[in-house]
Parts: sequence; structure tokens; C-alpha cells
Amino acid sequence: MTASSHSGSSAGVTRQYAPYVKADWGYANHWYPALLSDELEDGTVKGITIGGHDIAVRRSAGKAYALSDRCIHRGVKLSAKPMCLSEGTITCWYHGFTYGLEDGTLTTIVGNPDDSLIGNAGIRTYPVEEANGIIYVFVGDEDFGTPPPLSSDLPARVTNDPNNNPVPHLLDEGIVIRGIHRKLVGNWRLAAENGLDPGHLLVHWDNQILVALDRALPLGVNALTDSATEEIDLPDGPKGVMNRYDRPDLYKPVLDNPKVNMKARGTVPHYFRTSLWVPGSLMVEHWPITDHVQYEFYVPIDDHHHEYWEIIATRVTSDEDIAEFNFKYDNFMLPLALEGFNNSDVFAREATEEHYTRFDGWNNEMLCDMDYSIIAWRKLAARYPRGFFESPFQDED
Amino acid sequence: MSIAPTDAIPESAVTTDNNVHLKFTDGTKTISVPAGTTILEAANAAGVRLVSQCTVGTCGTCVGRVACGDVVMPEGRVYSLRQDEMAAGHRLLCQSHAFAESEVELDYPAAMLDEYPVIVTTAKVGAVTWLGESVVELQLKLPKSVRFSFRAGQYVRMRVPGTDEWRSYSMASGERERKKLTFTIRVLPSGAMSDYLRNVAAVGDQIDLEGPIGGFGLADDPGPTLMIAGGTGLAPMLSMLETLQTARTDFPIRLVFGCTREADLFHLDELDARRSFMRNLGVRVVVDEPVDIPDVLTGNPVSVLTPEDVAHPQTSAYLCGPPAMLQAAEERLLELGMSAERIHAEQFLPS
Repeated sequence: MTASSHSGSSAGVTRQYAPYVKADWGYANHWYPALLSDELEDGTVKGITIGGHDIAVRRSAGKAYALSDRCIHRGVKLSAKPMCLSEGTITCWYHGFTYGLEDGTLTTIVGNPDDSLIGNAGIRTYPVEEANGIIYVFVGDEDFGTPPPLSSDLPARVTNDPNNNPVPHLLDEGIVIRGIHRKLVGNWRLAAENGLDPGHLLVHWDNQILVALDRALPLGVNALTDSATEEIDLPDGPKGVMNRYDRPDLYKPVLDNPKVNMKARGTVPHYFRTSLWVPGSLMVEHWPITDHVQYEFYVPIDDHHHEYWEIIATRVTSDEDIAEFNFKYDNFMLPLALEGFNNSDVFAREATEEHYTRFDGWNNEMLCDMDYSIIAWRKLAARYPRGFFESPFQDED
Repeated sequence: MSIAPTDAIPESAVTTDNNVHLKFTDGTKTISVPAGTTILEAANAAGVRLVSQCTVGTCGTCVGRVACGDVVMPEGRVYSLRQDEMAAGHRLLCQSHAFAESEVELDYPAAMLDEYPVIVTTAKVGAVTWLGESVVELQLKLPKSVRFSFRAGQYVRMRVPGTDEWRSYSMASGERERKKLTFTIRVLPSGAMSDYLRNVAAVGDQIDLEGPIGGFGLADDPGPTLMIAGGTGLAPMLSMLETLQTARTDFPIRLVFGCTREADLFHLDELDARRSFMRNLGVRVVVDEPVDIPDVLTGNPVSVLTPEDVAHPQTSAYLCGPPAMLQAAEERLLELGMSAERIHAEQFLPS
């Protein structure tokens, strides 16, 4: 190593988007996906964690509710041993503290129905919305007030598709979605940036799905002008940045690099466009195949873990369409795209984590030309913190 | 645990309001307890904080000892007090009614329940960074075990290492950072802290610290914000800007930052950076002498104020800097039509 290889301190640059650099635990007061609808059967409880908030999600009489996953009595997680004794309530399995789902009030204690606490204490609740197979929860300050609409925290609705066939939005009617989510090691921002980063195509170079489809994926896409990445700032709506891959005039794809004797494989060109939205969701249009859209969410769990959501949606008009989508999802999109292709991303993010946590990577990175859209994202995201999650742990810094 | 006799005292038995003197270990506060109201309820209504949890008489947290007077809990139910405790005058204040003027002893200081309790601890120097010719940014790390919180705009006292001199500095970091505080400190030709920072200060040094202190901070009502900072009076403004960042208002924030000499300027890049992510922030930097820096005005923070800065009737002004600047700024703001109660000032003295 030479001395100059140590000149990677970017402390001066990071001040341009300091609020984002500080958001280790993620942005508070936003809507986040909590569970897939079919993961929460009626009468059951699941525990999740978003930005340090432990949340019990319970379905009762068809409706999903979200409450603090911590009994006021001795602080155990309600979801550690789910106990649902009646509609409209959730019961702590330890001493029987039973809370109403609507407002979290303590409605009874199983073994002491006359206890004076009943009616006088409770746990907090979180706003919930469920749409097209995803349960969303608004997580943040208890006194935030009325949450903004769910649509403001999802990727924007696309209207300017180059083939005049915009991909479906998550809140559209007449669509079908399938997907998975998993807990990964790594800060949510590293995951989010990876999804947008035009420079990371190399990690996908040998992915099965590209070979199977003979897809022509460049080794890289270099921006030709500042407008290659567009900032989208809709009043009361989504805030995000979009790589305008629909504008060939803005990009130069790199198809071979003679210095290392490497060529992009595949012969079939394919249009897709990526965009990244506050508080951390990605949209990849026409991916993995035309007329489909892949959404990803990078939901902060704590400062070192995030829940990685991979959702594919498409429009359907009949049961046959649904059956066709399900067949393709099970036999092609799930194994080759969500698990195959995206696992290369997962590997890359987890490999990045160490540098950013143990070696203060935010101040010791050296971004290059290819990272222009990451910088654009960071600057945009820095302008829209409705709040910051904080470590709830009292034994930690 | 004791079960009181079943003949509960009817609440109608209390017919008059009675004063209750709450004797904390650090002083006494007197509240009026209306008939039919518990002492805890009356204290809450009066803004006097008491230790309590369940508020319904089961947990035993809100216990106080009645030294004199007549304080009674309804009978006929179970309380978490032993017979001998009852006999010694212990009562659960969330259940207690005052039948006469009474005095209740509490075994903790009232300050313990302040929103931002004052703590005394020893911090470690995390970084000493020169921001310019005469300003040092001192970063202090608090021990893990210490629970410290503050309101943006407050300050702490710290003991200059190796001396018995204490100095006060406002946090420049935001209130979200509770374990890592930063301060911007003017380094003078001589002085205890200045000498320490110039000659001795090193990462890992231990510094005794007491705080948070002070009532300077953002008012609750939203409206445009006007900040006027002289020199290192910028520190509390930076802290308050972090609060305003997530305040979810679009009201303009105007920061006027003035220094006497060009060499005293600091944090211009920091202010630029903040402007880039706070769209409603406008920054005006002003120096007494003419300087050759783009966008830096000549004059003083008061001379560059405009009627437009205070035109909105809900504008709040925050002033921090040397006494002369504060006085001039206040006079000018009043002259421009601001009402005195919307002008908040924090004064500092060179040391």
C-alpha cells in the first residue's frame, strides 16, 4: 500500500448530507412494510422490529393491528409466545395482561380480572394499512400526529414508460404480488445504495438468470450528464432519485474492457430502470422480465441489520393470468431472480458492512464517477428526515 | 400488604381544598389539593412531578410519609403497604386525599424528575479539532452508564483539567446525541481553558462536567426563526438547527453569524453543508472588517438585519454572543417591531 491509498477520508463531503450519515437506525415517522398479508393468519400474532421498535402485529376478524411488542408489566415480548384469547385483544402469555387492539388499553388480566390497573394502563399502538398483500406500519414518534398517506412513502407511480406501458404501482388495483423478506446483516443504507448503484453490475456478471435469458447486461453504465440521475420531489408525495436508463442519450454502457480482457455477455438487450425512494425502497421497472416490476424495501431493524424485502408485481385480468404469474414466480423469478440474482447483492452488502461500522466507512470511502447516483440519493434523503430512529437500548452508546 | 377495613371513607367527606406541602430532599413545593382529587392528580395539575407508575394504588411507587396533617386513602381494598408502614404514616399519593393542611415527606429530590436532570460526571475527550485560527471544536464522550439528555440551546459547566476553574459552554451537537457532545470554544491569548486547549488537550483526557443547565432553547410555537450568533455563540444555534431539521415546518430559518475579524470565522463549510440539506435555511455571515470571501458581508450581525427578517408576526428570535452584541440586537429587534417575549437571548462572557 502506498501512502496515497490512505487519502480516502471523505469527512468533508459527508457533511453535505450529514443527516443521512447520522441515520444509522433509519428514518423515523415513515411507513414501512411489516409482513406479507399471507404471513399473518387470522387470530395470530407475529413479532417484528423496525428501527428499534419491537412491534406485535396481530390479525383479528380479518383486520391487522400493530402494538408495542412489550408488556407493560414485566416487559416481555408478547410475540414470544403468542396468545390470542378473544377477538379484539392480545394477551401476554406470562401473567395474562390483555390489551385491546384498537387503542392498546389494558382490558383485563386473565388471573386477576378486578386488578386496579385494568382500564388505567396500556401499550402504544401503531397505524396500520394493508394493501395488495402487504401490511404496512407507520413507525416513529408516538406524538407524531396524523401520518402522511402511505403512497408518500412508496415508490412513485410511473407514467413515463418508454414503451408506453408503465409498470404497476404497489397500490394499483388489478395486480398480483409475490415476494419474500429476510433479516440480513448490514446497515439499511448500504443495502439501499447497492440497489441503486449503477456501478455494481459487475457482481451480477455471472448470474444464472442472465445466462438463461441471454441478457445483455453491461459491465457498467457511465453517466454522460448531470441529469442522468433525476431527483423526484413530489409535494406531499414520494421523494426519490431515478437513474434515467430510459434516456440512452444520458448513458454510455460499457460492454468490454480490453485492459482486463472482459466482455459483457449475452445478446438480448432489455430495458429496465432503477429508482430509490425515501425512506428506503427501490423500484426496478420491467425486471426481471417485461411488464413486471421488482420492488425492494430496506427496512432498518437496528444499526447493523435490516429486513430485505423483494417483491415482484404485475398486472392480471384473469385467474389464468394469476396462475401463469404464480408458475413463473415459483419456477423462475423466485429461484433465479430473488434468490439467485439478488443473493449477489446480499453478499456484496454484507461484505461492505464491516468497513462502514468498524472503520467509519462513511468518512473513509472514496466514491468514484460511477457513484453519482448514490451521491444524489444521499443528498435527497438528507433533506427529508421526518425524524430519526434511535437505539432503544440503555446499555449501549 | 394490608387490607383496609371495608368501611371506605366516602369522598364526600372531603369538602374543602387543602394545601399539601411536598417536602422533597432538595426543597418543598406546596400544592392545593381540591376536594375529591388525589394528591398525585393535584400535583400533576400543578406541574409538580412526583414519582409514580400505576396511578391506581397497586405498585407502591408513589409512596410518601405524612409528617403532619390528615391524609387518607379509601378503605376496603388491597394496598402494597404493610400495616407498620401505614402506622408510620406512609401513604400512596395516587390514592390519597387531603382532609387537612398536611406535610408529606418524599425521599428523593424534585430535580430527579426534571425533564433534563442535571448530572455530574467525568467525560473523556474524543477529539480536539481546530476549526480556525482561534476556535477549537472539543468533542466529549460521556460514560455509557450516564443517562444524559438536554434541550438544544442548553449548556454544561466543565472543569478545566488540572485546575479548579469551571467554564460554561453550549452544546453545538444536537439533542439526539447524548453520549457524544461537541462544543465550539474560542481560544483566547490567555485563560485557563484556552491554555489547556492550546497546549495540553489530548484525546483521552478526562474532564469533569455538570449539566445540562440553562433555559435557552426553541420556543414551542412554530413560526419563522431568526438566529443571531456572535462568534462561538453559533454553538447553541447549530444544536437548535438539528432540532429544526425534523420539525416538519416550512417556515424560513434565518441565521446571522458575525465575527469581528476574518481570522475568527469558522464553520463556513458547515453552514454551507447545512444549507444544502435544509432548504428553508438562509445564512448570512458578516465580519466587522471588509473581507475577500464570497457572500460574506461587512458590518455586524445587527447592521444586516432587515424588516423582512421579523415581518412575520410569529417570528421568534434567538440571540447568543457577547453582551454588547446582544444588547444591540435586542434593541434593533424591538425597534423593528418584535415583541420582547419573542426574543430569547443567551449571554456569554469571554473566559
